[in-house]
Amino acid sequence: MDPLLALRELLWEAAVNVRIKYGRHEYLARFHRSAYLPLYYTEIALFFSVLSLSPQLESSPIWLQDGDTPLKWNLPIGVLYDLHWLHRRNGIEPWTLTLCVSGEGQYPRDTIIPFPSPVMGEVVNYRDTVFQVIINLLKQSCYVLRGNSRAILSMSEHDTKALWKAIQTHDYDMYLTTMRENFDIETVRRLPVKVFSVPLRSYTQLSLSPKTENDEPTILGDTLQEFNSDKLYIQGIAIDDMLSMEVLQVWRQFRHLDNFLYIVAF
Amino acid sequence: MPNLLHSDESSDASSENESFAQAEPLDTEADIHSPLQEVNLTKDIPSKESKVAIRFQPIGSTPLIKPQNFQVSGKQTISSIMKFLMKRLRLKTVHIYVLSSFQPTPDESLESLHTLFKTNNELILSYCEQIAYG
Repeated sequence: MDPLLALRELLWEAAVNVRIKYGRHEYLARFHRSAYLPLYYTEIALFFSVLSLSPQLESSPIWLQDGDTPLKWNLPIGVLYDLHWLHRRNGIEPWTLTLCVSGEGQYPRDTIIPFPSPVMGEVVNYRDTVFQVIINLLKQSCYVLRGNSRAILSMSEHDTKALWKAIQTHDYDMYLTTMRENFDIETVRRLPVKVFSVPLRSYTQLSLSPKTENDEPTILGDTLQEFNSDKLYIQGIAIDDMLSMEVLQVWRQFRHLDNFLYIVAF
Repeated sequence: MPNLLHSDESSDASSENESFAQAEPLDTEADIHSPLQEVNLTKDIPSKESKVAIRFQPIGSTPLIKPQNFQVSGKQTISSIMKFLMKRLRLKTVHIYVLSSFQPTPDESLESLHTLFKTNNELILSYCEQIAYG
């Protein structure tokens, strides 16, 4: 097997241990780093709703908090884990989160993307919002890569459905096939990168050129000096050994399913 | 598509009247103002902070905002722009598009978007009440 593909599949399957608390109840789970939190919300809400006899958990939007901080679910779970837990990690202790529900608390709509409340008697639909957000992230990264978003905008309905199914069922082969048919990553103009600095509490979006002005390959380490950090992580991995790699190669290997490369700086 | 930032469903009926009564001024969070009304609404931000030029473009029958060009603090996010538009134009929901292509997430900073996606040094934000591009 092609080593690049093997690595991509390994990253796709990577998972983190999470403990979710609601009242005196707990839910232990293993979430894929490449997935998004709300893909699990329906299941989590059902679990606690049955256990604590709280039907509003299914009929009102829920969110997760790390301490007092609501988690921005538009980031891949692995990025959230690295941002919030990587440096506090202690032995085998799982990342502990608190479940909150609108009604008992006010949905933090200023900091995280809200979900529509369902009509009376129905459960919250998280999936449509998640998919819209993912498609828009793909359009945005596509714009950086290509100079336009046509590749995503012109995807057939069949392929759009296949992509969504692949993300929901965490099916790497289906994701790869759909993306390959619609998106050739051999020709890229610029690379979409997001850098989160924990000490600076900042988030920066970069569009890096794969080649320098002298037509040499751009090196990862050279692009990250402004963040002035010696502890940088990509996909939960300290990047010390990657700093001399070409940024194009790092992006190809370590990008998330929305085609952004996420870097967390401490 | 569900709205990325929508007003409370429960208060929809009353919110129109409310926003009519409140009209302006904007809260500090939505620190956005046109060159014509050059008033700094935030006190704790140094006056030298960088501002970026944005231009609003309505899509379809969405009402026009006047003026269309604004100088906004680069630290502001799409979320504050959404609030500003909803308040100013009395919309219940608003969808914002960059370059008529993608909807940025509400936490994106205008500085980042301006750096990456500006046209003639302006960040063009199209907006509409209903979802425009699939």
